[in-house]
Amino acid sequence: MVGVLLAIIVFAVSLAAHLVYSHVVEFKDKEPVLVRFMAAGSVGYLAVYATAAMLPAVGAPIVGRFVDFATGLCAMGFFVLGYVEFWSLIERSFTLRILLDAVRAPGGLTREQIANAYSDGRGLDWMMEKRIDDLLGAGMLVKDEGHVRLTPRARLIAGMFGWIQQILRAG
Amino acid sequence: MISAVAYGIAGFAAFVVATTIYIHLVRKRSAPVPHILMLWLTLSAAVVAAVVGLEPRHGLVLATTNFFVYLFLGETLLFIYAASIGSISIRLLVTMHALEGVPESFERAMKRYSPGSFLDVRLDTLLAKGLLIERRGRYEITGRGRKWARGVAHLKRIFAVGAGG
Repeated sequence: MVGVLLAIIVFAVSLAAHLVYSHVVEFKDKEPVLVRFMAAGSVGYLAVYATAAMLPAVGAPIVGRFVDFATGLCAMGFFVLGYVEFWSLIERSFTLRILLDAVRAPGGLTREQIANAYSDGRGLDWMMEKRIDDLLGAGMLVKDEGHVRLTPRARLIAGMFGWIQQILRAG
Repeated sequence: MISAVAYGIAGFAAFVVATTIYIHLVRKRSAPVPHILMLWLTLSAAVVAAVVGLEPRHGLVLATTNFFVYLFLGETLLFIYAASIGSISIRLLVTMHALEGVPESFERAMKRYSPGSFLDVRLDTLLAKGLLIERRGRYEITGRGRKWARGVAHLKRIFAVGAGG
């Protein structure tokens, strides 16, 4: 259970560090920063676990060293994935953004006004441009002689999601 | 020590089977994420109960290890499921992939997923959840919607994520 306890501590530190950094430093691309912090946290878990395992005070785990380490890694993965999902929901949810725009108009908005006012007046087209910029920035799309194409990595991910959509009828 | 992870893995397998059955037999279409989330949490309690009941020796340790194995595997599936049905970016990538070989696959994918169509789906969701009401062609926020909006604005400040959307 040492692995799980260390995962909880390391994740809490990573989360706090990410929040502090987000408030203190001005930066444009927030998603890659989040990913870097969480990746650093996961590497941090490996280092902290390896260090803790060498301490005489930390005895042999009941479940064995490898299983203890692996279940801690699962705990770390669970927290990291949960935080990334929750953060993404708060940062970019289309539905929540509409709600925030609607609260500023006590008399209500027409569909066209919602489309034009979307995200502080940036409009719906901006919403799509933002996603495309993010995909370009993440190396999923590439501009090639005036055309936008999938990169090999994006092709792999899109193929996997297409297959999952068929199985889960999620398309 | 196989019992440290076996219940978690078995619980995940049960979650996959239950999700598949629910989608294919009960709903016959993609299920809402909250339904799958409830299934996931219910089975997590079942995993812990099974460990505590069947492994009286080291029950707390084994319940903890199996619990996190189950949570991580289940959350990975939830993440993929939610991205498959909700993410605009994923839909765009999947459509472009399906249209590869066709000239201007990006432009065609963009036509298929117009921002207006996404807006209509979201407005319907907000109306169905009682967060907005439609009155004479205007969408007005409800008291419940106002509470949600306050909560979201507060969280945006905590995470320092700006306007977003």
